[in-house]
Amino acid sequence: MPVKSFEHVISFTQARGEGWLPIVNVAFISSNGTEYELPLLFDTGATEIVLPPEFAEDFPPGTAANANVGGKKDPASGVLTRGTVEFMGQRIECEILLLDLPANPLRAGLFGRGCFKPFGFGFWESTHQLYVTSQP
Amino acid sequence: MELQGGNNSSLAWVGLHWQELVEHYPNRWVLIADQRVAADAATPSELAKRAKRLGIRRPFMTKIGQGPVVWRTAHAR
Repeated sequence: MPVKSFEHVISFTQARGEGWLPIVNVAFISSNGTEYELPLLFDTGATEIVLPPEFAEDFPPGTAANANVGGKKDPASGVLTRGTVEFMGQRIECEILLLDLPANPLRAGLFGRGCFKPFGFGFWESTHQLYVTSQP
Repeated sequence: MELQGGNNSSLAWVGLHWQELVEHYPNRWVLIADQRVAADAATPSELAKRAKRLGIRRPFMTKIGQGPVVWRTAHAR
């Protein structure tokens, strides 16, 4: 049986009446030097970070890309670009898909698998915790 | 072990107050600092500029929608 250890634990966020959600704070560092933190839903079903198109001016021009979206039959059109993000003290370059998302105060976007490589994750639904290591 | 989240984080504050936020800031981006809305704007870039003027180096921002928030998701068909 493998044994894993983790340096960080992220508590799920309680959405009133809707249970607990694995939301992570991710910092974005744009090419013009602007920095901000956004809450993103930890989503193993997403292939990369997904943000709404309102962030286009903070990233280099990207290329057109289609993406499958839950609940929709046809793929949605978006733009695939790249950006620098900081998560758990590590700065990494990630692909970012700019795609229309319904606004939700608890998550500005999705944290997808494209940014997972430098980390290891342990998901504990019963205790509402996400364990993270930067040394997978 | 480093802990992210918990009762004192900006995110937890949004989680506790999101219904009020939807009522007061529909379709606006909000900057949360010190357990309150420190600024709001129509776009994230406008809000980031306001944060810079307020001296907040790395603001925590999120968008408040309009109408009911839909949480349920399903991928399989």
